[in-house]
Amino acid sequence: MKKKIVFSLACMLLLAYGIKAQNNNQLSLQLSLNQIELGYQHKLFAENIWGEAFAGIGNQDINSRFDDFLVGIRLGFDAFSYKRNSIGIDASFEIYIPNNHYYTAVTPVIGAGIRYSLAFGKLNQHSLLINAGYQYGKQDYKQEYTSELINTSTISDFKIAPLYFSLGYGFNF
Amino acid sequence: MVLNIWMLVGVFFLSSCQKEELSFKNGDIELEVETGEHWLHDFPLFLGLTKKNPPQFAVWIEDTNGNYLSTVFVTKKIATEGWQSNAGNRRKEALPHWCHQRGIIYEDGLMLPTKENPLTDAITGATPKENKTIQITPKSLQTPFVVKVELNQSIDFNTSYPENAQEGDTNYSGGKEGSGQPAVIYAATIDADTKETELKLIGHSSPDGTDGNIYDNMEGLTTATSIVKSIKLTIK
Repeated sequence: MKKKIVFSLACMLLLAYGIKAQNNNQLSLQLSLNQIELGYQHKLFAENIWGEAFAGIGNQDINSRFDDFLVGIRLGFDAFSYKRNSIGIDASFEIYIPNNHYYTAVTPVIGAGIRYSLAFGKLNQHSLLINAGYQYGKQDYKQEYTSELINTSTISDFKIAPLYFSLGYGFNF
Repeated sequence: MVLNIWMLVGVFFLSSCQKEELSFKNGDIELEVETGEHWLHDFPLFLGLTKKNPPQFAVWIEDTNGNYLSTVFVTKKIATEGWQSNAGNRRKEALPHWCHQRGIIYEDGLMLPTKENPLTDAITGATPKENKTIQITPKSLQTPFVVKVELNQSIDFNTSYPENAQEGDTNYSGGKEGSGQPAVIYAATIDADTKETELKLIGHSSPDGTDGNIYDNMEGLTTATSIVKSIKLTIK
């Protein structure tokens, strides 16, 4: 399992690193009730297609603290653009790593969403980002306890909240 | 390049979806909690929005004389004082029978584990929203013994256990952030010949959590009696 995670992380870093330098980059910070993400976005192949690598923290596990870790990639397509506004759709894949004393459940998450972006500032260097979408991530985990009297075990599952809505800021360069 | 990455992502995703399973051996005990009509209870948030809350519950083992032997499973909020929006109420009325049977008194005089001293001698888990299966493998546990399950919903008020009952009233259940209907207790005695049995509803706990008694008068309980549909126990 750990090898798979390392391999996937390496792929994500390669994606972020291997993209040829262009002018259209964006660093973003996005906030939602369950996650805080930092992202690096870059145009790919065409003006309206972009890829993004992101990492952040989340609070979706049993302790509800913002101490879980997440990392992922997103591929998006700006479907409509008008002046400083654009609306795009994207697909994402992330790995969500809950952090608590009770279980380990590294969870792959896939998602699809809509992103609205409003550029502002003199050179459109800044963007307001609004994202909404659906994501799916579920992982079974086993818990065990041993005492002198009995051993006990049970299976539970960790699920990611399916709907998300986030607000963000992007710096374009 | 991008296509390859998405293919890798797909492979990783599929390979990560393998299902965990319990593997039972001869003599193991399978405890199956089947959720009932009122397993999920509306908990008010704001502006009329509600959240579906599952109950808190504990599973434990006693000898046939009523002596506590071992806890098997406890939900996290009880085990770690993990309450939110409880306005400081430690919820002693949540699972009082289990607390009193266990008999451990914490620094504030209550028998509930605290954030600083959470329960460590059992599985502590998130409250499931669906059926739950627990495997118990006896080591030095000898028959006969008793398996008990105590369940409680927060703010499960009804006309017999209203929100506005005052402290000292017989139907007081912790006030606005309290229980409403008291916890319900299920039990079954397991002896050497038991192969399969269903835990029976044997009563309810103290509404305000001041004692660990079992009250067998079920008048006044409505939705609390259908939190679970059944609790079955099978010896493999």
